[in-house]
Amino acid sequence: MCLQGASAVQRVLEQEGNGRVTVFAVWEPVLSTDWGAPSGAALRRLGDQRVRQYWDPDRLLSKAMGETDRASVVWDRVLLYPARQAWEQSAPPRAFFEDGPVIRVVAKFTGALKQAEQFSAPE
Amino acid sequence: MTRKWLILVCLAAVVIGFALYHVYGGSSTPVGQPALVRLNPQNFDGLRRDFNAAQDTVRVVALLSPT
Repeated sequence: MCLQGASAVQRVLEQEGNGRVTVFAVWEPVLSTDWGAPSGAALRRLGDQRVRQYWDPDRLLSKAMGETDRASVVWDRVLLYPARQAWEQSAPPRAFFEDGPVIRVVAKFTGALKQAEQFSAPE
Repeated sequence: MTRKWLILVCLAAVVIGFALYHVYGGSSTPVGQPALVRLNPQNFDGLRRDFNAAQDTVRVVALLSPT
């Protein structure tokens, strides 16, 4: 499911063309088959050059976002931030849009991305 | 019969090995992207710095699992 989510994000980026977007893809072990870092094949699902990819074996980002046990792991989610919104605390700031599983919220994510881009237009 | 089975076992091992490598082997990012960053408690703040360094763009954070 999550690899499909990565492909879904890639398709959204392709539709956005030259939009000023930066994607931070944070891979983390969640499923029983997640034995190690994402393979080259998995990383290539997000081939856009606006993507930066991270392997988070200790799920530090999920824990910063509130993970305290297995049931509260934050994964298969996409968060959207307009330009000029800074991350100042240990946890990421409140997102303009946050939802998941990624593959199921592609349409909402695409709409929110367009809104965020309009909101981010130079002042 | 024994030789036939040996060939089949070797072929199966090659196929399985290829499949495992495809799923788990190598972690090279696509051409044009920075290298994959392995996060740990010492460098986790680098993610925050990267996020803020891209403040002139819309940022997407996607949390995904590798399989």
